[in-house]
Amino acid sequence: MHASLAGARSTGATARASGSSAQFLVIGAGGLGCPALLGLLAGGARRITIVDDDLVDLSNLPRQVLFSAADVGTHKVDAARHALLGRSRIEADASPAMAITTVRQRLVPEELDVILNELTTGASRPWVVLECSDSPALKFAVHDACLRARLRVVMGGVVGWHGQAMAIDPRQRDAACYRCLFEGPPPPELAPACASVGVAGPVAGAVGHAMATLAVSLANADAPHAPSPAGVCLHFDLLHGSVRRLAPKPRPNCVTCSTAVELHANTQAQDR
Amino acid sequence: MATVRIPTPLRKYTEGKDEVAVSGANIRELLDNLEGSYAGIGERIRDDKGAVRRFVNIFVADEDIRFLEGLDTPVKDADEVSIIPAIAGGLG
Repeated sequence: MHASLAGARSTGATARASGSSAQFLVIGAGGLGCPALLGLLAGGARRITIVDDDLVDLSNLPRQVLFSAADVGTHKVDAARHALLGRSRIEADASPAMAITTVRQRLVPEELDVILNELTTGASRPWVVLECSDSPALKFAVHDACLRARLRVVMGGVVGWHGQAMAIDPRQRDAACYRCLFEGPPPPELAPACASVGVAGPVAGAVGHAMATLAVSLANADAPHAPSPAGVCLHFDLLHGSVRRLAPKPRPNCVTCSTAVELHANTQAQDR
Repeated sequence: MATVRIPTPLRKYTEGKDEVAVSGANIRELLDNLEGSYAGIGERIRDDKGAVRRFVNIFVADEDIRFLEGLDTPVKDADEVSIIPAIAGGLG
Protein backbone atom coordinates (compact mmCIF):
# COMPACT_ATOMS: atom_id res chain seq x y z
CA MET A 1 0.00 0.00 0.00
CA HIS A 2 1.15 3.50 -0.76
CA ALA A 3 2.56 5.12 2.36
CA SER A 4 0.39 8.23 2.22
CA LEU A 5 -2.77 6.16 1.78
CA ALA A 6 -1.80 4.00 4.75
CA GLY A 7 -1.34 7.15 6.79
CA ALA A 8 -4.70 8.51 5.72
CA ARG A 9 -6.40 5.25 6.67
CA SER A 10 -4.72 5.29 10.04
CA THR A 11 -5.94 8.83 10.69
CA GLY A 12 -9.40 7.86 9.53
CA ALA A 13 -9.54 4.93 11.90
CA THR A 14 -8.72 7.22 14.80
CA ALA A 15 -11.42 9.65 13.77
CA ARG A 16 -14.00 6.89 13.30
CA ALA A 17 -13.34 5.52 16.72
CA SER A 18 -13.93 8.94 18.19
CA GLY A 19 -17.46 9.34 16.84
CA SER A 20 -18.73 5.98 18.01
CA SER A 21 -19.20 6.89 21.64
CA ALA A 22 -22.09 9.30 21.22
CA GLN A 23 -25.66 9.46 19.99
CA PHE A 24 -26.30 12.14 17.40
CA LEU A 25 -29.63 13.81 16.72
CA VAL A 26 -29.89 15.48 13.33
CA ILE A 27 -32.83 17.88 12.97
CA GLY A 28 -33.56 18.38 9.28
CA ALA A 29 -32.46 16.06 6.47
CA GLY A 30 -32.09 18.68 3.76
CA GLY A 31 -29.31 20.77 2.29
CA LEU A 32 -27.35 20.85 5.56
CA GLY A 33 -28.60 17.63 7.08
CA CYS A 34 -27.51 15.41 4.19
CA PRO A 35 -23.83 16.43 4.23
CA ALA A 36 -23.88 16.53 8.03
CA LEU A 37 -25.09 12.92 8.09
CA LEU A 38 -22.38 11.87 5.66
CA GLY A 39 -19.86 13.70 7.82
CA LEU A 40 -21.06 11.91 10.94
CA LEU A 41 -20.76 8.58 9.14
CA ALA A 42 -17.24 9.45 8.03
CA GLY A 43 -16.47 10.52 11.59
CA GLY A 44 -17.39 7.13 12.97
CA ALA A 45 -20.87 7.82 14.32
CA ARG A 46 -22.74 4.59 14.88
CA ARG A 47 -25.96 5.87 16.48
CA ILE A 48 -27.91 8.57 14.69
CA THR A 49 -31.48 9.79 15.01
CA ILE A 50 -32.89 11.81 12.11
CA VAL A 51 -35.94 14.06 12.42
CA ASP A 52 -37.80 15.47 9.41
CA ASP A 53 -41.35 15.34 8.10
CA ASP A 54 -40.63 16.25 4.50
CA LEU A 55 -40.71 14.15 1.35
CA VAL A 56 -37.93 14.00 -1.21
CA ASP A 57 -38.66 16.29 -4.15
CA LEU A 58 -36.99 16.22 -7.54
CA SER A 59 -35.69 19.73 -6.93
CA ASN A 60 -33.83 18.50 -3.83
CA LEU A 61 -31.52 16.14 -5.65
CA PRO A 62 -28.68 18.44 -6.73
CA ARG A 63 -27.97 19.64 -3.18
CA GLN A 64 -29.37 16.95 -0.92
CA VAL A 65 -26.76 14.41 -1.82
CA LEU A 66 -28.11 11.40 0.06
CA PHE A 67 -31.11 11.16 -2.26
CA SER A 68 -31.53 9.80 -5.75
CA ALA A 69 -34.34 9.98 -8.30
CA ALA A 70 -35.70 6.69 -6.95
CA ASP A 71 -36.32 8.38 -3.59
CA VAL A 72 -38.63 11.08 -4.93
CA GLY A 73 -41.90 11.00 -3.02
CA THR A 74 -40.53 9.01 -0.08
CA HIS A 75 -39.88 10.39 3.37
CA LYS A 76 -36.48 12.05 3.63
CA VAL A 77 -35.70 10.34 6.92
CA ASP A 78 -36.31 6.91 5.37
CA ALA A 79 -34.29 7.67 2.24
CA ALA A 80 -31.46 9.09 4.34
CA ARG A 81 -31.44 6.08 6.62
CA HIS A 82 -31.38 3.71 3.64
CA ALA A 83 -28.49 5.60 2.04
CA LEU A 84 -26.46 5.70 5.25
CA LEU A 85 -26.99 2.02 6.01
CA GLY A 86 -25.96 1.19 2.46
CA ARG A 87 -22.70 3.05 2.96
CA SER A 88 -22.09 1.55 6.39
CA ARG A 89 -22.28 -1.98 4.97
CA ILE A 90 -18.91 -1.28 3.47
CA GLU A 91 -17.69 -1.64 7.02
CA ALA A 92 -19.67 -4.77 7.79
CA ASP A 93 -17.21 -5.84 10.45
CA ALA A 94 -17.44 -2.52 12.27
CA SER A 95 -18.46 -2.61 15.89
CA PRO A 96 -20.83 -1.47 17.20
CA ALA A 97 -23.29 -1.98 14.38
CA MET A 98 -24.86 1.05 12.76
CA ALA A 99 -28.15 2.09 14.40
CA ILE A 100 -30.17 4.78 12.66
CA THR A 101 -33.58 5.72 13.98
CA THR A 102 -36.01 8.06 12.27
CA VAL A 103 -38.70 10.42 13.45
CA ARG A 104 -41.20 11.59 10.85
CA GLN A 105 -42.29 14.74 12.56
CA ARG A 106 -42.32 18.46 11.99
CA LEU A 107 -40.82 19.94 15.12
CA VAL A 108 -42.49 22.91 16.70
CA PRO A 109 -40.90 24.96 19.46
CA GLU A 110 -43.61 24.17 22.01
CA GLU A 111 -42.90 20.43 21.86
CA LEU A 112 -39.11 20.48 21.90
CA ASP A 113 -38.63 20.02 25.63
CA VAL A 114 -40.85 16.93 25.66
CA ILE A 115 -39.27 15.42 22.56
CA LEU A 116 -35.70 15.97 23.72
CA ASN A 117 -36.60 14.58 27.11
CA GLU A 118 -38.18 11.46 25.58
CA LEU A 119 -35.19 10.87 23.33
CA THR A 120 -32.38 11.48 25.75
CA THR A 121 -33.55 10.59 29.25
CA GLY A 122 -31.66 7.66 30.64
CA ALA A 123 -29.18 7.61 27.80
CA SER A 124 -25.93 5.93 28.66
CA ARG A 125 -23.93 7.98 26.21
CA PRO A 126 -23.75 11.68 25.45
CA TRP A 127 -26.16 13.16 22.93
CA VAL A 128 -25.08 15.78 20.46
CA VAL A 129 -27.74 17.65 18.48
CA LEU A 130 -27.15 19.04 14.99
CA GLU A 131 -29.63 21.80 14.08
CA CYS A 132 -30.04 21.66 10.30
CA SER A 133 -33.51 23.17 9.81
CA ASP A 134 -34.14 26.37 7.89
CA SER A 135 -36.57 28.06 10.25
CA PRO A 136 -34.97 30.89 12.25
CA ALA A 137 -37.52 30.56 15.04
CA LEU A 138 -37.04 26.80 15.26
CA LYS A 139 -33.26 27.14 15.22
CA PHE A 140 -33.26 29.40 18.24
CA ALA A 141 -35.89 27.25 19.97
CA VAL A 142 -33.82 24.10 19.45
CA HIS A 143 -30.76 25.88 20.82
CA ASP A 144 -32.62 27.05 23.90
CA ALA A 145 -34.19 23.64 24.51
CA CYS A 146 -30.79 21.96 24.24
CA LEU A 147 -29.34 24.32 26.82
CA ARG A 148 -32.25 23.66 29.16
CA ALA A 149 -31.66 19.93 28.72
CA ARG A 150 -27.88 20.34 29.08
CA LEU A 151 -27.31 18.87 25.61
CA ARG A 152 -24.43 19.75 23.37
CA VAL A 153 -25.62 21.26 20.12
CA VAL A 154 -24.15 22.39 16.81
CA MET A 155 -26.00 25.18 15.05
CA GLY A 156 -25.76 25.54 11.29
CA GLY A 157 -27.04 27.82 8.59
CA VAL A 158 -26.37 28.55 4.95
CA VAL A 159 -27.50 31.17 2.48
CA GLY A 160 -25.94 32.16 -0.80
CA TRP A 161 -22.18 31.69 -0.50
CA HIS A 162 -22.25 32.21 3.26
CA GLY A 163 -22.67 29.73 6.07
CA GLN A 164 -22.16 29.32 9.78
CA ALA A 165 -21.50 26.42 12.10
CA MET A 166 -21.27 26.93 15.85
CA ALA A 167 -20.59 24.42 18.63
CA ILE A 168 -22.27 24.93 22.00
CA ASP A 169 -21.69 22.98 25.19
CA PRO A 170 -23.91 24.16 28.07
CA ARG A 171 -21.57 22.55 30.56
CA GLN A 172 -18.81 24.96 29.62
CA ARG A 173 -19.56 28.25 31.34
CA ASP A 174 -16.56 29.93 29.76
CA ALA A 175 -17.79 29.26 26.21
CA ALA A 176 -20.38 31.38 24.44
CA CYS A 177 -23.74 30.03 23.38
CA TYR A 178 -25.56 30.91 20.15
CA ARG A 179 -27.54 33.65 21.87
CA CYS A 180 -24.34 35.16 23.21
CA LEU A 181 -23.51 35.76 19.56
CA PHE A 182 -26.99 36.42 18.18
CA GLU A 183 -29.49 37.58 20.76
CA GLY A 184 -32.59 36.60 18.82
CA PRO A 185 -33.82 35.29 15.47
CA PRO A 186 -34.42 37.62 12.57
CA PRO A 187 -38.09 38.37 11.93
CA PRO A 188 -39.52 36.52 8.94
CA GLU A 189 -39.52 39.64 6.76
CA LEU A 190 -35.77 40.03 7.32
CA ALA A 191 -34.81 36.37 7.06
CA PRO A 192 -34.49 35.50 3.39
CA ALA A 193 -35.50 31.95 2.54
CA CYS A 194 -33.07 29.75 0.65
CA ALA A 195 -35.56 29.70 -2.22
CA SER A 196 -35.44 33.48 -2.61
CA VAL A 197 -31.71 34.10 -2.11
CA GLY A 198 -30.41 30.75 -3.30
CA VAL A 199 -27.74 28.53 -1.85
CA ALA A 200 -24.47 27.53 -3.44
CA GLY A 201 -24.68 23.76 -3.14
CA PRO A 202 -21.02 23.20 -2.28
CA VAL A 203 -21.34 25.73 0.55
CA ALA A 204 -24.12 23.64 2.10
CA GLY A 205 -21.84 20.62 1.76
CA ALA A 206 -18.93 22.39 3.42
CA VAL A 207 -21.04 23.73 6.29
CA GLY A 208 -22.77 20.38 6.83
CA HIS A 209 -19.46 18.58 7.07
CA ALA A 210 -18.11 21.27 9.38
CA MET A 211 -21.15 20.74 11.62
CA ALA A 212 -20.44 17.01 11.74
CA THR A 213 -16.82 17.65 12.58
CA LEU A 214 -17.75 19.99 15.41
CA ALA A 215 -20.34 17.48 16.66
CA VAL A 216 -17.84 14.63 16.79
CA SER A 217 -15.37 16.90 18.51
CA LEU A 218 -17.99 17.95 21.08
CA ALA A 219 -18.80 14.30 21.68
CA ASN A 220 -15.21 13.67 22.60
CA ALA A 221 -14.75 16.70 24.81
CA ASP A 222 -15.27 14.60 27.95
CA ALA A 223 -11.93 12.87 27.62
CA PRO A 224 -9.23 14.21 29.93
CA HIS A 225 -7.37 17.15 28.40
CA ALA A 226 -9.47 16.86 25.24
CA PRO A 227 -9.81 20.10 23.31
CA SER A 228 -13.33 21.38 22.80
CA PRO A 229 -14.73 23.51 19.99
CA ALA A 230 -17.45 24.88 22.29
CA GLY A 231 -18.10 28.56 21.75
CA VAL A 232 -16.50 28.61 18.32
CA CYS A 233 -18.48 29.80 15.31
CA LEU A 234 -17.04 29.10 11.88
CA HIS A 235 -18.22 31.71 9.40
CA PHE A 236 -17.90 30.68 5.77
CA ASP A 237 -17.65 33.17 2.93
CA LEU A 238 -16.69 30.78 0.19
CA LEU A 239 -17.15 33.28 -2.62
CA HIS A 240 -13.95 34.77 -1.21
CA GLY A 241 -12.53 31.42 -0.12
CA SER A 242 -12.70 32.58 3.48
CA VAL A 243 -13.48 30.65 6.65
CA ARG A 244 -13.34 32.86 9.69
CA ARG A 245 -13.15 31.51 13.21
CA LEU A 246 -15.25 33.61 15.55
CA ALA A 247 -14.84 32.92 19.25
CA PRO A 248 -17.22 35.36 20.90
CA LYS A 249 -16.99 35.89 24.61
CA PRO A 250 -19.96 34.76 26.69
CA ARG A 251 -22.30 37.72 26.95
CA PRO A 252 -22.68 38.64 30.63
CA ASN A 253 -26.40 39.36 30.34
CA CYS A 254 -27.24 36.42 28.07
CA VAL A 255 -30.65 35.26 29.26
CA THR A 256 -30.35 31.79 27.76
CA CYS A 257 -27.02 30.96 29.36
CA SER A 258 -27.98 32.23 32.78
CA THR A 259 -31.44 30.63 32.69
CA ALA A 260 -30.00 27.28 31.69
CA VAL A 261 -27.42 27.44 34.45
CA GLU A 262 -30.04 28.40 37.04
CA LEU A 263 -32.42 25.71 35.82
CA HIS A 264 -29.73 23.06 36.04
CA ALA A 265 -28.60 24.24 39.46
CA ASN A 266 -32.17 24.02 40.73
CA THR A 267 -32.57 20.53 39.26
CA GLN A 268 -29.38 19.37 40.90
CA ALA A 269 -30.47 20.81 44.23
CA GLN A 270 -33.82 18.99 43.99
CA ASP A 271 -32.06 15.74 43.13
CA ARG A 272 -29.93 15.87 46.26
CA MET B 1 -11.97 54.43 4.00
CA ALA B 2 -12.69 51.14 5.71
CA THR B 3 -13.72 48.06 3.79
CA VAL B 4 -17.16 46.79 4.74
CA ARG B 5 -17.98 43.17 3.97
CA ILE B 6 -21.60 42.81 2.94
CA PRO B 7 -23.42 39.54 3.71
CA THR B 8 -25.40 37.83 0.97
CA PRO B 9 -28.88 38.92 2.12
CA LEU B 10 -27.90 42.60 2.05
CA ARG B 11 -26.21 42.67 -1.34
CA LYS B 12 -29.42 43.64 -3.07
CA TYR B 13 -28.84 47.07 -1.51
CA THR B 14 -25.24 47.34 -2.70
CA GLU B 15 -25.85 46.50 -6.36
CA GLY B 16 -24.56 43.00 -5.69
CA LYS B 17 -21.23 44.16 -4.31
CA ASP B 18 -19.81 41.90 -1.62
CA GLU B 19 -17.62 44.63 -0.19
CA VAL B 20 -17.76 48.39 -0.30
CA ALA B 21 -15.46 51.19 0.87
CA VAL B 22 -17.08 53.47 3.44
CA SER B 23 -15.71 56.32 5.52
CA GLY B 24 -16.49 57.03 9.15
CA ALA B 25 -14.57 57.73 12.33
CA ASN B 26 -16.57 55.13 14.20
CA ILE B 27 -19.12 52.41 13.50
CA ARG B 28 -22.08 54.76 13.95
CA GLU B 29 -20.73 57.17 11.34
CA LEU B 30 -19.75 54.33 9.06
CA LEU B 31 -23.28 52.87 9.17
CA ASP B 32 -24.78 56.31 8.55
CA ASN B 33 -22.56 56.74 5.51
CA LEU B 34 -23.33 53.21 4.34
CA GLU B 35 -27.03 54.07 4.38
CA GLY B 36 -26.25 57.34 2.58
CA SER B 37 -24.62 55.44 -0.27
CA TYR B 38 -26.94 52.45 -0.32
CA ALA B 39 -30.42 53.46 0.74
CA GLY B 40 -32.36 50.85 2.66
CA ILE B 41 -29.45 48.86 4.00
CA GLY B 42 -29.34 50.74 7.29
CA GLU B 43 -32.69 49.54 8.58
CA ARG B 44 -31.62 45.95 7.99
CA ILE B 45 -28.70 46.48 10.36
CA ARG B 46 -30.10 48.84 12.99
CA ASP B 47 -33.57 49.10 14.50
CA ASP B 48 -35.67 52.25 14.70
CA LYS B 49 -33.86 53.28 17.88
CA GLY B 50 -30.51 53.08 16.15
CA ALA B 51 -29.30 49.97 17.97
CA VAL B 52 -27.72 47.09 16.10
CA ARG B 53 -30.41 44.48 15.55
CA ARG B 54 -30.43 41.43 17.78
CA PHE B 55 -29.60 39.00 14.98
CA VAL B 56 -26.72 41.04 13.59
CA ASN B 57 -23.13 41.28 14.77
CA ILE B 58 -20.52 43.74 13.61
CA PHE B 59 -16.85 42.90 13.77
CA VAL B 60 -13.96 45.29 13.34
CA ALA B 61 -10.82 43.39 12.50
CA ASP B 62 -12.25 40.21 14.05
CA GLU B 63 -13.34 41.94 17.25
CA ASP B 64 -17.02 42.03 18.20
CA ILE B 65 -17.97 45.69 18.69
CA ARG B 66 -20.15 44.74 21.68
CA PHE B 67 -16.94 44.00 23.53
CA LEU B 68 -15.26 47.15 22.25
CA GLU B 69 -17.15 50.43 22.37
CA GLY B 70 -20.30 49.39 20.55
CA LEU B 71 -21.39 51.87 17.89
CA ASP B 72 -18.71 54.26 19.16
CA THR B 73 -15.94 51.79 18.29
CA PRO B 74 -13.32 53.72 16.31
CA VAL B 75 -12.66 52.70 12.72
CA LYS B 76 -9.37 53.20 10.92
CA ASP B 77 -8.95 53.46 7.17
CA ALA B 78 -7.30 50.06 6.86
CA ASP B 79 -9.91 48.27 8.97
CA GLU B 80 -12.15 45.57 7.63
CA VAL B 81 -15.65 45.77 9.04
CA SER B 82 -17.80 42.66 8.77
CA ILE B 83 -21.56 42.63 9.12
CA ILE B 84 -22.53 39.14 10.20
CA PRO B 85 -26.20 38.23 10.55
CA ALA B 86 -27.49 34.96 11.95
CA ILE B 87 -27.83 32.62 8.99
CA ALA B 88 -30.88 30.45 9.23
CA GLY B 89 -31.18 28.58 5.95
CA GLY B 90 -30.40 24.93 5.70
CA LEU B 91 -33.21 22.66 4.71
CA GLY B 92 -33.93 23.65 1.16
